[in-house]
Amino acid sequence: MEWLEKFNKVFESKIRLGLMSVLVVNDSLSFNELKELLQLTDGNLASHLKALEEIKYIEFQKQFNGRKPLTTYKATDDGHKAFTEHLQVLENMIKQNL
Amino acid sequence: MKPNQDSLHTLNEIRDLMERSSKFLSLSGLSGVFAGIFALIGAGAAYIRFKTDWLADILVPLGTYRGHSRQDVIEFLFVDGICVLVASLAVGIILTVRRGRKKGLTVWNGSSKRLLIAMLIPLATGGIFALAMLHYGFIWLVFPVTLLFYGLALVNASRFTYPEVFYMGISEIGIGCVALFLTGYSLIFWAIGFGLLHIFYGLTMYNRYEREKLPGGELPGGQLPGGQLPGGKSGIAVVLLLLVTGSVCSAQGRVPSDSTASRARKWYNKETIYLRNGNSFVKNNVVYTGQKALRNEFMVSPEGLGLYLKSRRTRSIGLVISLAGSAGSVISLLTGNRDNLKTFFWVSVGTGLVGSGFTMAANNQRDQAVWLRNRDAMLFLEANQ
Repeated sequence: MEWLEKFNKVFESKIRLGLMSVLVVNDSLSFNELKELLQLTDGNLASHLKALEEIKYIEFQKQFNGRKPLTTYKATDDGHKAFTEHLQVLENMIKQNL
Repeated sequence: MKPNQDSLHTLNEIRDLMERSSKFLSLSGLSGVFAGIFALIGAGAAYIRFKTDWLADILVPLGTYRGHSRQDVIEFLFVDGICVLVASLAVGIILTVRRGRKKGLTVWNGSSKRLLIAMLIPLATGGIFALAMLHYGFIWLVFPVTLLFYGLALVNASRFTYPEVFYMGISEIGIGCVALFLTGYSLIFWAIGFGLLHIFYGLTMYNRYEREKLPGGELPGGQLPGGQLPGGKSGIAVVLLLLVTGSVCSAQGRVPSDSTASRARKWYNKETIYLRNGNSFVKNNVVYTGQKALRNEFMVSPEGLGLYLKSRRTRSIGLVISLAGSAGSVISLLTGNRDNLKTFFWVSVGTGLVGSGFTMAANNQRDQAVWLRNRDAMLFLEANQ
């Protein structure tokens, strides 16, 4: 069961896995786009984003569209690497169970 | 076991999406700066060769001036363009490879291939189109067309690399469209499009992505190292704005035997003037330079003098507006944040167009002033029996 050791605890949550996936294949996404894609409430999304941001897997940029605030998120290099490794772990997991 | 197969499949799809959305980030902004410098040198060479006619200054008084044949123009411009292109590509590739190695990225990978194809398709099409224009003799279309297709290539390629390339592409397209209808100024627009824009965007990208950042991830003070954009930018703008579109006419017709006509012709050759390059003019096949000489010529026509002075004022206004636009862009570059880039973009387009409008008006006024002066010089007609 060594593959379990490499399992990144951050991605235990399905939501975080989905968040990372989406951010890794897109240049950057806004808060509202993420909300729509993953079908989450404001608060839920915000707390997951905060967790990911604290471990530096994603970074955000706050801007203003006139008066309206606009926050965009993108995956960091660290985040990319961690996610790619995690994918590898998942793949191994599946292959072992084939 | 089917669900596992599906999961594997999904995983591979995710991997594929990740690979296809990765961007080519080794691109060096400095390569843009060098490309711009080479383009300005190329434009300067073309200007010296074909507009200042330093050779003509020697030959015209001797009466042996031959003028430029179309073939000369095409050949020179072709070689000029190829040199600029090769130099820019060479430096660009070297800088980009060096930057890629420094960042630890492989330079030749999927994203660079996608970038290359995205650039080459519009560029190749544009090249063929430009050659067709040359073939059919539409030389004046070649400059704007190269700007347009280059802009389209940049817009297309921007998906695979830094987003600034998109705005640069739009700017090139904009300049190309304006150049389509102001064909007298094609060299200026070419110099701005391939020269100034490259330098500006190259510096922006260098500022954003390549300068050393402090450990906190912030740029030191937000200032450009060394403080200044190449100061030559304003100087070049002045020189280019003072470009006169008059060309040297070397046609010498046969004198008809009819006496009124021949007298008129003699008077015309002797007493009328035409302008070259802002401060010099030609009278009776001799080139004169200098403000004072020009003003003397205008003494015969007060109306012409008035209009000439007005044209200089209009030209100054146009120059000030263009400089204001440049100053605005320098300021936005110094603060270096994303919003300002968009404001700059619209400001520069606006001031550029308005500045060009004033310059055009100034040129028309000046041409009319010369025409008035020549008309009033007819009082010498009686004197020349």
